[in-house]
Amino acid sequence: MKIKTKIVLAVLVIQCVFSQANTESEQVRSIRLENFINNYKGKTIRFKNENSRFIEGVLMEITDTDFVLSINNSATFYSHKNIDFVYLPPVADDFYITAGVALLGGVASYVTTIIAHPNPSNSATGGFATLGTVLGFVIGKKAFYKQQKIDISGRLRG
Amino acid sequence: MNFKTIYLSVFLFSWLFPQSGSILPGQKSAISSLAVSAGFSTEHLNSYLLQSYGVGLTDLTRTQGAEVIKAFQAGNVSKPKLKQKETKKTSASFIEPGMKKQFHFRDGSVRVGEVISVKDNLAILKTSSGNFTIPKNEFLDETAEIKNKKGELFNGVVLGETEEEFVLRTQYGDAVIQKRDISSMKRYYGGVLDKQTENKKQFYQGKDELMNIFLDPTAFPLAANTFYVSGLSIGYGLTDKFMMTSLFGSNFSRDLNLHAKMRFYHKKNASKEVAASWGAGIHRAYPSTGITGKYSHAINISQYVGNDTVPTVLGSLNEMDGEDGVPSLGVKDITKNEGRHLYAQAYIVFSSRRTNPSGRGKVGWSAGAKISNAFMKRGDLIESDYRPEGGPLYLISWNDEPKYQIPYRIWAGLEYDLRRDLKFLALAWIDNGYKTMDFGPTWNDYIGSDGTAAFSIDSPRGTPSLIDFDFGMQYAVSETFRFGIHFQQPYLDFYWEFFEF
Repeated sequence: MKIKTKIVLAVLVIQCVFSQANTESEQVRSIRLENFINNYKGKTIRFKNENSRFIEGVLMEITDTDFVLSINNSATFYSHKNIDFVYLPPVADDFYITAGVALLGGVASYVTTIIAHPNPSNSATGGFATLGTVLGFVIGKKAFYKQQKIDISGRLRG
Repeated sequence: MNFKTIYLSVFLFSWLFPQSGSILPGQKSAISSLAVSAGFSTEHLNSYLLQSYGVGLTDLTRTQGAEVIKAFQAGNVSKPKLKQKETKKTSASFIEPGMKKQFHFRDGSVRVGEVISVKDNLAILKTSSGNFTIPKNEFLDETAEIKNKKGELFNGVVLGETEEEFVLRTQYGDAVIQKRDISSMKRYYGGVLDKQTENKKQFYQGKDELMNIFLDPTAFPLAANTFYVSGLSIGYGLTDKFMMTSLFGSNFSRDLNLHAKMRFYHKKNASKEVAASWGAGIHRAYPSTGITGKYSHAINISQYVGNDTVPTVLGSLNEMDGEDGVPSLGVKDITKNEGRHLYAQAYIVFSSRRTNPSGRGKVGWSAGAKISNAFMKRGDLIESDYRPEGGPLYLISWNDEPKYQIPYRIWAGLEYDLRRDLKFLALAWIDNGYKTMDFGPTWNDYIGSDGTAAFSIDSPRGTPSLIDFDFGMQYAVSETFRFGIHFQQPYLDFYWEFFEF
């Protein structure tokens, strides 16, 4: 192989290898991690580790390499090196709000029944109230009882 | 022939031949109006006059002015072609693999995709429609000026945009700005602010963030340190979670009142915001007529007919207008004690807002329920009977149907950003104190000419409509002033905000 061909091939290989260097930005990742600790410190988080197992615990701190989680009242360190997404599972407050929306749905249905009919039977009021409660629960669950997904990767993509 | 004769002649000629003088103001306005009617812009008109007479509108003579008017009236004027101003758009300062967003190109096209590689001067853009190899200089530079809620201002090239964040390359390093913290933002494509794209096709949220849908609250309070005045109330955001309002119409009639709203639950990310709030209001001297007026349809008017031992119900108080054989009875006739008493109300409301999947602003809903102590000791509020001068005896009583046992209102509302400055609003409610009224009586109620307090909606008249709905539009004239129109009382809304008050 001629020296000229070798140089051209070497340049091509180097170009291919290093042209992707900016896909991940460490600066972007560190800012996202900082925002993450500021926004969600003390909250329960969940993520998938390298063994594809879900880890869940209360976020206490984030170091350069690890998440510090409180699990069963003891601090545990998990590397966040290969973790791109963290999830915030719904908490008790989310459930209470969902229950509130369900209750509102039930009350609205009951009141609608007694307005629409001068003397509704107990089964009619009960049936409509139950239906309203279920509908309220479905709407409330969809709006309030949901897991949030947070991107902590360094990628500049959506 | 003396000096006087010469002077008079000159004066007369100056009146007879004034056409060579400069154009008259009346001619100018006539030309402008005719030009607008003919579809001319100011630029078109000036261009036409320059081409035809070599001067602009203000430099025409009266004769030329008359000619132009005649030409417009005869329809002999065609629109001149204007030279298009060319704006040189700047190319992207850099294109890197991994950039994923909406890219704007020199030929005016827009594509959403990810740059998967950059080789020599060519970038490969992967989109849902396929892979495109595009010269780097065809990508327009995309920069943004972003101000966050803390007042920090970021200026730089947009590297990427996710649902949650913008990533900017500023002069001093990369910045990640969370969308939920953005207070205002301007985007530039090729150095030019693309108003059309920014304002109409794609906008993060409308100018208006609603605290109320018509008269019913949402769970989102007023921003901290912001004061507002509307047609019925004034208010102030003490913190981002807590605000106070007051109905000024009642305040002017000695009924000092305060209404608080507190957001006790809140979650927000770039695409969605959910909240729950409670509210409570207290009136120190609420007039009894306010309650009997609002619930007039729950007050029965009866009369003994002939030798009947059981009175016959003539109808409810709101129907007693003196027409169709019913007596004319007012709220003051049947209210026992026109005194004022403590009145309180409380509500809870849940709201959710999310980015519209079309990318045009947001869409959201709210649902809430409100109760008050209006029916507490309600028997003491009304007379048991009333006899007008020389008239028969009327018996007065509260309607005992279950729907009138507790004063309540349950509502569900919808907000939808049609444009950055225009919202569609809809509301449905179940309210045992609601009566629908035409615009005329509503206006009389608002200004107080129907005998009730001014600047409030509490008329005893109207048709009961316990389950009803309403819809309308709200237009944000500016960042601080909103104007709305809908099809139930109070029909018109206005709302003026003062930031950092």
